[in-house]
Amino acid sequence: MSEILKVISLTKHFKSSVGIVHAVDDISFSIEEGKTIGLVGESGSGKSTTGHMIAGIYPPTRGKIIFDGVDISVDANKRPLSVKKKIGMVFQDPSTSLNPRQTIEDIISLPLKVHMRITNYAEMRKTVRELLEKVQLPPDFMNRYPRDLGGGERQLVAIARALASEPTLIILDEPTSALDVSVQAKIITTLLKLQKEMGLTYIFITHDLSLMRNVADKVAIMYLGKIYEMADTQNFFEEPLHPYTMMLISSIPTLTDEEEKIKPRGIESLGEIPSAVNPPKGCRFHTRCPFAREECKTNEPKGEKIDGGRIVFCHFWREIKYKLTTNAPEKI
Amino acid sequence: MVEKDGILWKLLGREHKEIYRRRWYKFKSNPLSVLGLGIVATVVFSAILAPYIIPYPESVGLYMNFTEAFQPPSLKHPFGTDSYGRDIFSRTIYGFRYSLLLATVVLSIVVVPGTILGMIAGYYRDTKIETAIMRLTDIFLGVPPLILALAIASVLSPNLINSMFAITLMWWPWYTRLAYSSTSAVVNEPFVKAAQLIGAGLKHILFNEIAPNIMSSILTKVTLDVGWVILIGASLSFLGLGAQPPTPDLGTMVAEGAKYLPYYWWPTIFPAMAIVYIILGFNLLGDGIRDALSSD
Repeated sequence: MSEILKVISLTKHFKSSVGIVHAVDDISFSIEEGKTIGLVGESGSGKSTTGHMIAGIYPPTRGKIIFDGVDISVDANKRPLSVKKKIGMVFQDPSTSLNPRQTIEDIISLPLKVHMRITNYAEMRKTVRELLEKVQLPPDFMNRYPRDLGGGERQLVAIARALASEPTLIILDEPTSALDVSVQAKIITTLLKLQKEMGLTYIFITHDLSLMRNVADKVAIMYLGKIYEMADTQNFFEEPLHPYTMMLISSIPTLTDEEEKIKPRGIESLGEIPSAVNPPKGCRFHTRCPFAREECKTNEPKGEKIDGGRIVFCHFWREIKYKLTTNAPEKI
Repeated sequence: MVEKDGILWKLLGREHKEIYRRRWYKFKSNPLSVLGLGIVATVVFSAILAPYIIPYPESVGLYMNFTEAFQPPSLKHPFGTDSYGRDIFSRTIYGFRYSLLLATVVLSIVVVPGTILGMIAGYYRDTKIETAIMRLTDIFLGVPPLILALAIASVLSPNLINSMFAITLMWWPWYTRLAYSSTSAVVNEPFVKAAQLIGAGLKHILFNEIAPNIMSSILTKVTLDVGWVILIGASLSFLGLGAQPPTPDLGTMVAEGAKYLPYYWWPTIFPAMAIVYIILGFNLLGDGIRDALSSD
């Protein structure tokens, strides 16, 4: 499989009235075609900012985004039309990402006009109908307005719009977090089915770890604008290496003892994410890390590559792992 | 079926009948709004039909009949007669035509370019384009409206066309300002972002994505403004800078009649009340439309 997207030292700083917000700082990753990468983190971790830069909502402050061998480190209006065609985006809340004054047909036909050069009215309606069928919505929805639809249906319309230009990469910015739990499953199964059928590559942004486990092939965990661990989904959940990953996984609510058993032990979630205006020096996680030492406060950890394409950014991950697996103490 | 890509179609949206029904229900549930609609309807119909319904068509122009001068209100002359013996009721009804003509001409010139400028400024927030447009509107808005119109009208020769020109020149910034603030509220909505990411052109984003979402506030302002434009026009005429006698303009009639106050009160009071009647009607109607549109 070939790499479809490569992100190198991507950085985004926003100017604000209180100082410079370090939304994303020097992150690198890549995605293979047809796979899903999950960006996980608490709010304020920079995961959405990363997705927005790749989509082209704003340009990166530094660093490069390489898509299909083309450098696209600029905002969308400076990108060639052929690139815009190939990258789709689904926003978090479909009640604001669909124009309330347009019919579903108008909404879905925009990418068809821009990218597929469809001008014939009958052909346009036929294509919109096909797209609605593809996301399992009844074709007569095309004459309705977004407000006539339920939240899940709206999000399916947003997905149909993203599919209209026949993209290869789709950025899904928390596509289910604004929806009722009852419709989340439908959105996710539709997304997975479409991926299989059309060979789509997904960047899936979410804070929901259990959801991530079901959809992502690879997970990158972000904290205060940095990636701290990146691994295949299975490794990530079964053998977390970074203390922050452990903390997050241990905070997933569980129902059965079986689930409880596989959770990392000896680490509890404490504190809240510090401000991105003045991120802590050294390892940004040291203020909340139960294993933090003097070195963590001054030196930024470098990414250490482990077998299986895993990368972990922690000075002491080996020691921590050793400590936790041999003693398995209740608390350290 | 209406042509699919018609511009009005796009702006108003192909909304359901049900939405219009709901708006109409909301509108008519307020008796003041219905009163406003009734007043506006009488004004518009009598203005259109004026030549056929006024009892003394010759009173409209340069007509003199001094034997009939200063007749008080009676059945023969409901509003009395003026210093030349002309029927004030006929002149007042005919005066509606000039008032509505003024408002229609001014607003139809002003609304579209003013709104487009405001949308452009709102779309290009934090750029030099925004600064240029909005500072220009600030200059116009900084001068009190009547004073600016007075200045312009007094430099030009006083007639109806020039007073229209003066009001037009001072009225567009209000639409720019309104469209600017409405656009600023809409432009950061994800659906605008989505259209940008897809690669839609500026024309599509301004007219298909943003315009339908700001139309209701613009339409409301247009209805409310009819009254204000008429008032400013009447003020200019009253000061002698608008339509000139013998044109039966309401402001001019008030000014002419004022010389004979307080003894002959009817040449002044009836045209003045007609002005109040028009403005009241359009304001009540505008308020009703605003309430009806804000429900969705």
